[in-house]
Amino acid sequence: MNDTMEEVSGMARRRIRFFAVSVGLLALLATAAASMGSVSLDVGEVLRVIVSRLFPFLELAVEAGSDVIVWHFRLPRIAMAMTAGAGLGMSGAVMQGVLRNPLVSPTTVGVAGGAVLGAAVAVILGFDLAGAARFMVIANAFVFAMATSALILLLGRLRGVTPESFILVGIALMSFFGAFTALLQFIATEDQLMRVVHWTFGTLTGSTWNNTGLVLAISAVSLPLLLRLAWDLNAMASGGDEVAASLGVRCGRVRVLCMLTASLITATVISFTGLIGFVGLVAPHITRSLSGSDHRYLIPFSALTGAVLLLLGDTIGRTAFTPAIIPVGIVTSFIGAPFFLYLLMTRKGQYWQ
Amino acid sequence: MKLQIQDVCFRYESSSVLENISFSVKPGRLLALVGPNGTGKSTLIKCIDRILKPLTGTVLIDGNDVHRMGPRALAQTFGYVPQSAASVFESSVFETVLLGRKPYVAWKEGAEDREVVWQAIDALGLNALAWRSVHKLSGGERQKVFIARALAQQPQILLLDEPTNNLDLKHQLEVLFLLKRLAWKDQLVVIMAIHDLTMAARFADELLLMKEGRVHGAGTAAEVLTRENIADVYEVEARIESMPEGLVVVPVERRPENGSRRSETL
Repeated sequence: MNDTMEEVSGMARRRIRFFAVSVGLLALLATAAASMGSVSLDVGEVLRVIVSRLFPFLELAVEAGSDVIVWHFRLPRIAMAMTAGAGLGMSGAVMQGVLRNPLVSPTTVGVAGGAVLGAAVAVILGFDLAGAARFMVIANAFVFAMATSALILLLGRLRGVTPESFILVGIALMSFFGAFTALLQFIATEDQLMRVVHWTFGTLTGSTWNNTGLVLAISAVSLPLLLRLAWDLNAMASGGDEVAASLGVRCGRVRVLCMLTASLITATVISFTGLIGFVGLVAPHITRSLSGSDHRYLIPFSALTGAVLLLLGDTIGRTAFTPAIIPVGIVTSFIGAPFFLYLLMTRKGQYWQ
Repeated sequence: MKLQIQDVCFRYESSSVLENISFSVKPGRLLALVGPNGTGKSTLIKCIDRILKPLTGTVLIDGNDVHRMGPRALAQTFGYVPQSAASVFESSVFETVLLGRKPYVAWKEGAEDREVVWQAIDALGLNALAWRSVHKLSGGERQKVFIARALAQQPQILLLDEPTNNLDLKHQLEVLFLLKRLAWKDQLVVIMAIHDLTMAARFADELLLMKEGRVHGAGTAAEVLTRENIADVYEVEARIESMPEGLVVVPVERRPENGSRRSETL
């Protein structure tokens, strides 16, 4: 039994390696991203700005221009890329597990359709829910997204709390909202149309420390809750509802709780950033193939993978064609879609069985 | 632990699936649920494990109502092996069997949990496959993994839904010998739904023959597997042969609709 015990520690080693590599990669990417852009700064300058901001009592001399670029533009954007990516990554892992479906992602289960409609309503009809014009699009997208997830859960419940129910209801609502959005776009002025379409590209431009803080707070509160349900998720994802029930899992309750939490994270993220596809779909797949399907590790590690992917995507989008900035949603789909096709082609027969 | 089922009824919406099922099984015994498709064998198994909630009736363990047990205690008492449940996501044999420890573990499994998992893996002869993906196993191996997972729950009662389905002869024998040994050695109550009457006769201590959600006959193979019973329940004329290993049921022909039994065999 000695060699088998070694395998256990081998699994632990794999997880530690995954954690170390992804955190290292994230730090490296963040530093690179902060120094790259339309104005190139050297790494030392970037670090000086960060240190001077974190420890103002040191009274480090920093150039005002660098300070503005790094602290007010690049770092909030980088922080948002990481938190949004992390949020989408862990939502994706949870949704795929709880719906037992590797093709599900936070932006394909209907929540996103609601968010787009909410944004379109705000832009085109000038419909103001929150009473603050500045946050109208964000608030509307969020409220519509959450209302949609509530509707999905409600209708899903009526049909029986099975994965199929949620997926089918989500698809139906998605296409209904799609039609609604298209109708609004049809009556919109060119300027409004452009703004809605731009919103659906998904971009990190305009990220602030406050936005990032909010996304971070929601994700940070959700993570422990989701981790507490990790064994339940393992049982449901691996064994199915009946086996999970025989292992003591209250499947309906867990499914609703997980969907609600994952939808909340997704809604918060995409109402700030617009539609960012594929991160939530692909991050859990990459993570699974590198460190296994145990949700105790899959959920936090998918968050790390999502953070790396989105930061990488945004940095490429920001620097590949300077001074033009390609919205990160476009870049992630450009990278994500071929990768997903690769997964489909190399692992055929494993999905939908 | 003695298992008693009393007057269990179950309905799916309007159609009645189980009606007044009562029987009891002593520890160390292997009970086979037999009967045609759609007679409620699977439903009965799920009702016993409370995966489905019976409409009326009680399930008692040593006289205690299962209904009053919490989900965790229930999961420590009953192990359930589904008909087939290949996961969509890849995981290793070890990880799959580890799931059986869920009712015992809060977050991180301990050394003793691992020990139980290894014992279950060992009991099914899966050691060499422990780190293989369940996806890449054959149907027989996979079935053994699911049995190992149920054993890792350290149950007193083991419920299996057609454990020999889709298995070749060798694997059928392996699984059935194992179930028999488990019942004997660990004094478990083992209940399995099974279609193969000859295998049921050979391995089960008792048979419960079901027809349209009711118990049609219960007892030893010789008592239950009679020509009359098989004709009544399956609408099939069968020959029952007695062999040194047990009864052999040979289906001969479909019984005519009007019920007049012709025996123009072969």
